[in-house]
Amino acid sequence: MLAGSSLIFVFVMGLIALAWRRPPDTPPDTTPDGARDVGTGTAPHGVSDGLSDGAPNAGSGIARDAARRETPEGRFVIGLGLAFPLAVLAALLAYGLVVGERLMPRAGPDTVTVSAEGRQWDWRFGYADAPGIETRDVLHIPAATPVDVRITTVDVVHSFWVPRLAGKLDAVPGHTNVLRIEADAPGRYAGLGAEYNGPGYLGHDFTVIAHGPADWQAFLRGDITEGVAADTAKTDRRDAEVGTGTEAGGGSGAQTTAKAPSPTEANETATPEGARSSPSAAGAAPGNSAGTSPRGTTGDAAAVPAPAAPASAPGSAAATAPATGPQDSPRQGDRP
Amino acid sequence: MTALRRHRALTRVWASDPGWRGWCTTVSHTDLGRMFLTVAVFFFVTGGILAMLIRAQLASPRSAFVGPDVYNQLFTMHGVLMMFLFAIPLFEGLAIYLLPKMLGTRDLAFPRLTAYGFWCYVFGGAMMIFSLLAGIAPDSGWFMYPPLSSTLGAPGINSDFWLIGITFVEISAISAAVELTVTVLRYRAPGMTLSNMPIFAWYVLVTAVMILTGFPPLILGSVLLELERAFGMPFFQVAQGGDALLWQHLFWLFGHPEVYIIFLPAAGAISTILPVMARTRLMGYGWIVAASVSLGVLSFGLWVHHMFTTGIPHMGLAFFSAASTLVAVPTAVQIFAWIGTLWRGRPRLHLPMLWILAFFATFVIGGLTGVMVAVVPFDWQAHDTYFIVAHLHYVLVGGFVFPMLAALYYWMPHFIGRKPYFKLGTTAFWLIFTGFHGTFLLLHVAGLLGMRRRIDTFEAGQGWEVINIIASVMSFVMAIGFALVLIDVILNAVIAVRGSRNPWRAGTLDWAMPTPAAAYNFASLPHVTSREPLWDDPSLPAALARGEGYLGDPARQRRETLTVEPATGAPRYIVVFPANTAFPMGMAAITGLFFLGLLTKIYWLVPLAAAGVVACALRWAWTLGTRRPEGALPVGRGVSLPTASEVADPPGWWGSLFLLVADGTFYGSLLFGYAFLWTIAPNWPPPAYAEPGIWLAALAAAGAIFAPLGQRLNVPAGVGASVLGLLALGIAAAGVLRLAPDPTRHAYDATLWVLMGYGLLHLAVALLMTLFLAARRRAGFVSALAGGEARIVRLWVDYGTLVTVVSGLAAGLPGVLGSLSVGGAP
Repeated sequence: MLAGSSLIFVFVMGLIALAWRRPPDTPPDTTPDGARDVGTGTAPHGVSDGLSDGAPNAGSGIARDAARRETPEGRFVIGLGLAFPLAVLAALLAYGLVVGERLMPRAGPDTVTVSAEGRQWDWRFGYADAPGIETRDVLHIPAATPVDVRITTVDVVHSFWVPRLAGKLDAVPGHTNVLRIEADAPGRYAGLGAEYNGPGYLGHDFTVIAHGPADWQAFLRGDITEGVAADTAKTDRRDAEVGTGTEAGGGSGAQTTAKAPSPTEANETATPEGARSSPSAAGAAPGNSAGTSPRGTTGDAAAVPAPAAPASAPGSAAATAPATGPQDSPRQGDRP
Repeated sequence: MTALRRHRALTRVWASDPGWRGWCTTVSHTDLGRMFLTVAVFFFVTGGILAMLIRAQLASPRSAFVGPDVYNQLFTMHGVLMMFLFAIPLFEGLAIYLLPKMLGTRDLAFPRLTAYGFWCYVFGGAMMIFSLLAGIAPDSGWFMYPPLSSTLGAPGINSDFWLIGITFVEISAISAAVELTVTVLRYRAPGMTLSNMPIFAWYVLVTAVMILTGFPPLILGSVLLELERAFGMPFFQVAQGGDALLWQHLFWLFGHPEVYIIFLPAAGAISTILPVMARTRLMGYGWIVAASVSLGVLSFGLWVHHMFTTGIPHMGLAFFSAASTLVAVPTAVQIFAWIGTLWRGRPRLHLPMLWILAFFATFVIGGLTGVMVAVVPFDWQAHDTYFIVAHLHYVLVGGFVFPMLAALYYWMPHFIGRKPYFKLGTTAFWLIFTGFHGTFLLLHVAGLLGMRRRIDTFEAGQGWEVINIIASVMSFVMAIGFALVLIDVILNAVIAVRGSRNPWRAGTLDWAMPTPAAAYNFASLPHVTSREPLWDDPSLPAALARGEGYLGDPARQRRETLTVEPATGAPRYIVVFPANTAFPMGMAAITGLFFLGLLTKIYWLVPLAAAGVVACALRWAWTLGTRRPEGALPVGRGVSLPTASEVADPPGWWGSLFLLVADGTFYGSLLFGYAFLWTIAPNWPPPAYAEPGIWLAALAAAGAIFAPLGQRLNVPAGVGASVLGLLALGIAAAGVLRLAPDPTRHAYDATLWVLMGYGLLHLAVALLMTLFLAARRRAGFVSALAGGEARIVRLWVDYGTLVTVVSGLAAGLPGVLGSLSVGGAP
């Protein structure tokens, strides 16, 4: 997408620059298209040309030059103005729709459902497989498993964003939006609230921890307690941030270790696989998709909004997708 | 009569009052256009200072320059000032100043309305500036998403300043749009057909109609949110049947057309300036007109692309993604038509042309990133990051500010009547151009690196420090450039020598006058047969000054101009304009008291101020016209025409028609909001639906028959029938209100109150107008007796009747459906 845009930009700028070309062999006053003599010296008010900011005083002859070239209207307006963008945009749109279609969540037997509840200014996470556990600002998920995040809010509009795992999806009062995320490998992923929500916006972040199968079972049993709601350290941290406005990082106690890497750090430290869910890759540049690893392109950045009905369960969200089998998931399909 | 004596005679009639009094009493489009431009530049400077504070804060990580509470006001007010108090008013000012001159007429359709809009703008803008200085400015972001902007997230007065101040300012946008539309359609030089209009007039027409249809959803949203904040009517509170998404829909239903409302006038300026700079004619006039019209239409179909991350169903995403990419096509048509024009001509590299080149370079990048974010998966990542910040600045600065600077330098000889002497402009150009790209180009990257917009500071070590310090430094370079432009203009206005007429050798009529322009524009009105009358006949200005056109004889000692048939340009009737008056300023001040009462919750002031506004409006209309029939009067060149008082479609009818277009869009948005809440919002149905009985329905039906019918009966009893009909409708509407006594209970009840309140308001207006017309008939005004005013009143009565009936049906429909389904299923 960047390369294509640069090409178009250079093309347009080149066209403009070429407009200053001076074909030497075109005699003046021969053009039939009737571009008028702009200001002949015969006009009673005809004074010298220009407002003294740089042009040579060309006198009354200037306008005749205007008529020297005949440029067909059709080539510019219809060819370049109409046909060219239509072709480019149609291709781009088709590509975007195809990618978007592949990002649709499919129902699968191994899909894990978690809930994310935004508030000013923290996130609380619940787990369908372990109803008793609530974590704050730390979301535990199993790695290499599709996860549906049911996003809600208790106060204002928030947005749930884990840059390396998926795009954004808003938390809108009264609505439940379902986002499909999937982490390829165990590890920590930075998450952010990405909709402005008041004075504490800066510190409205969280960490996603993707576990291997054993750790995930340990978490579900309650053996891993990082971020579990009884731990109130984050609350202190938030207050500190709101107070100073500069304290974005780890604050007190146990949370220091839980401090998420920033998205950039995440991107910088990411393995090559990790880079493919960076924005430019998710933007589905034609070149990128061909160049990324054979394990998949944007399939792991699966994101989909649910229908805006209040009670849309993950199942119902998936039901709106074309009826395809669970094995049809793009990631799996792309795998060799 | 010599040209000089004609000039003096016309000046006596048309001149504004001398000195500072003239500022308060002027109704001249030349003066008011300049005043609009000046005040808009003031707000640009203010918004620019806020931008500098923002960049100062973000220059380094962990900056302690301002805290989040101040920073949130800074970025909110930067957006608000630039969008609402700079961009739109600057367009209005430019169009108000130029349009009559380009169209070959002497003023805009409603001179006092121009002044009223200007003062509303000034007073409303002053409210916003006050909030900024007092530290209680809006701080919820310029698009004010509830619940953050409502009582839950913003219990203070901050949001009220936005909701009330901006609504006040929008009066000026709507009034300017009404009169620009009427002016383009009716107030042109005789002979000027639609297809011979200067291209700028086409752009103004499209933009004005877009304002009429784009701003009402915003005004509705502001009214609803203020009702929620002030009176607890829960339109956006989900627990009581509201929905925060309704605001987002209403806001972006305005917000996206707004982008094109800002871009199109700039494109109009380019289409005017670029051919002159290239010494040729515009390529593809018809294509460009078609492109601007289709931009206007398409722009209403893609507001959802600002909401891709809110959980819109997949099919909706596909549709709006397609529409968002499609809108690039008419833009491309214009851009390539301009490039073709350059190819055909021999371009000169004057300062306006430099700015147009800057526009090309910047706007093309902005357009390309725009196409990127129209691709949904990309937008899910880029949304609400600095990528979007960079994109929107490329579009708005590249697509509006740069062309407006081109326009400034192109029309500066016209505005100030001087020949530019100082050459600061070129230095300023390079400072602004490099400063702009230095600021924003790398911010795209910051966005891709995950920098969210609206964070008040950031941590070191994320790869953002270098980008941000570069952006901050370059933004100050840009600011110095803008300061140089200001100094340049002021120096030239004060010091430079008088300029010559038509220094660029343009072909449009705005250059067919001495500069600075005389108060009357044209000593006589030209007869136009082509798009570039000055190229056809370079001696035209002298001929007009000699009085060889229309209305060259000032003998009647009043401000006269001509109107034409909308399509063909055939002359139709004479309009007599009002003279200087401070009345519009006073009326704007009283309107300001109305909004001030709402803002400070001094509610006894509100009905008083409203009554004051009504009294002013009645007096305003009463002074129009004459009691002495004049018949057809000679207008020169052997033509005789009647005055506006004696025709069936006076300017007021056209103004009413387009005001009702805006009003109808407002009402349509209300119905949309109602349907949206009914079908989408959680927590519906309400505890109970209103079920208007058969008696209310019968009363309303009788009223709906008699009110419009009475207007059409040409007997005294007709007035009585109409009045009774309106009263019957009003009683029926009040009866519906009694069925939902508590508007704070549920969004349904609140919506019902707004629906019926809207109907009652329009019934009251219709009733007043009916009685007013009867009084004017009795007083013997020609215009009241000739039928023109009766048609205006009929328009408003019909509209009031229609909306009241529709409101009643809409309010009662769920209840009737409910009782039917209950009755049908025993």
